[in-house]
Amino acid sequence: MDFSWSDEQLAYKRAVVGFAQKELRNGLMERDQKAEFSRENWNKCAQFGIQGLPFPETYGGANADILTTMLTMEGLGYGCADNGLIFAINAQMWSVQMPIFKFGTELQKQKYLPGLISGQIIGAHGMSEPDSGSDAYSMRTRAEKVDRGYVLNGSKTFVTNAPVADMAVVFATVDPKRGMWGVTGFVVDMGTPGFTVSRHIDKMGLRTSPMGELIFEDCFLPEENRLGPVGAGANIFKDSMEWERACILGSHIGTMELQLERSIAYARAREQFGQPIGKFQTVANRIVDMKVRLETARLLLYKVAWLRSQGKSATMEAAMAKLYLGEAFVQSGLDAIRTFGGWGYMTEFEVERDLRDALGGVLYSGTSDIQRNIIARYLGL
Amino acid sequence: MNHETILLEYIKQELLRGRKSDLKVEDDLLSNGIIDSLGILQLVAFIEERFHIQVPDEDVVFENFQSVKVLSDYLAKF
Repeated sequence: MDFSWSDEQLAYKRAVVGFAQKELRNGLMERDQKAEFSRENWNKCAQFGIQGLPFPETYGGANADILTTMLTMEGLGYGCADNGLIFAINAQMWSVQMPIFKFGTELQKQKYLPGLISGQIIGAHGMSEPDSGSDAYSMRTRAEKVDRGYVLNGSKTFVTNAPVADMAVVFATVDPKRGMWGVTGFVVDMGTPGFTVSRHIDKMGLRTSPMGELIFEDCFLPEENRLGPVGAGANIFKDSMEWERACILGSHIGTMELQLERSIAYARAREQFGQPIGKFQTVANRIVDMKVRLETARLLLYKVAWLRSQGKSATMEAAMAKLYLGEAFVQSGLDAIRTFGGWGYMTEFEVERDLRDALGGVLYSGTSDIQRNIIARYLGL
Repeated sequence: MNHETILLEYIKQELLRGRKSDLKVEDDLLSNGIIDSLGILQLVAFIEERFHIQVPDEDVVFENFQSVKVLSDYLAKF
């Protein structure tokens, strides 16, 4: 068993941390308040090579393996502080770029991947609907087969990047009676007749990541816009979620590490009753719990990434990692606020934002409840 | 044991757990809700582990998983 990273991987992580600290922290508090997306920072990430990291050089990527990619996300989480930007980038990488790369035709790859990787265009991913969240395959958006293509009708909600997207990967059913076996993927460009983006959806955390709804009204898509085989949409979606879970969780690790370091520094510097607050066992023990939680979370996540790198199935392990890290990130945010006391509750101290951002993690990419269902099933319950 | 027998036993014991002990190789696993989406993931993982066959994601479609017989025929191609 070897837990060490190569010098090259660690050097790249350090470079990512340095880049993020220097380039991505500008005006974050104000953008968070205004729920403002930074296209400028998005492009900086693309130029640095984040969006293209695990994709082949042919499409402008760097051909990195999953472990290196996850470590990069960890560095980004540590250095960036803009969890919304990281979330938006991950949403595109794993739910738009990866399905196109793995299931798309060469024409689709050539058309979209170079632009998505370079930052020239932005992609969104439409799965959730007003009436189907966790029960995703009961979707109502319909793709009716017609001559030379499909006609889509329906709507998608909670779509990250929708208000700024140039294209989207969406899922619709060709036959509701088939359940998951009718779900089929499509790529659709903004400006396609019958396809519109509705209102910007405001939210509690991850406020710098834009979110909206996609509406399809008799939207004709030619056959060449279908992504993968008819009925393979559920499995395409599952594959995206496994990638997304591994990598977005990597950034959680980075942020939790920063929360821990800031909490330690504050507990050593802040004095009450004539001594640093870290000398009080109640405070010290809370920070110890943050450390233990961080390290156990890291081990769970690294195991998932390792299994994936070996080409092994990791459904239960990924569910355990998603469940544990999602909940651990929330707890870490609460512990940091408690350590900082009243100052931690104040926006200007930039501690409370992480907690607001973390709460989304127990909901997106499969709620904690759904992860528990998956684990229970694998345990034979 | 051939693919059919092994798959039939696995589905009966691990996925159905006695709910349908008279499952036949021709029975429709999907339209009748015998196996749900999570069950498919378990089945694919089992196939990988037991038969050392990596099922490509794009092959996890109705046409290849509709029944034990159909699935066995599909796996015979590897």
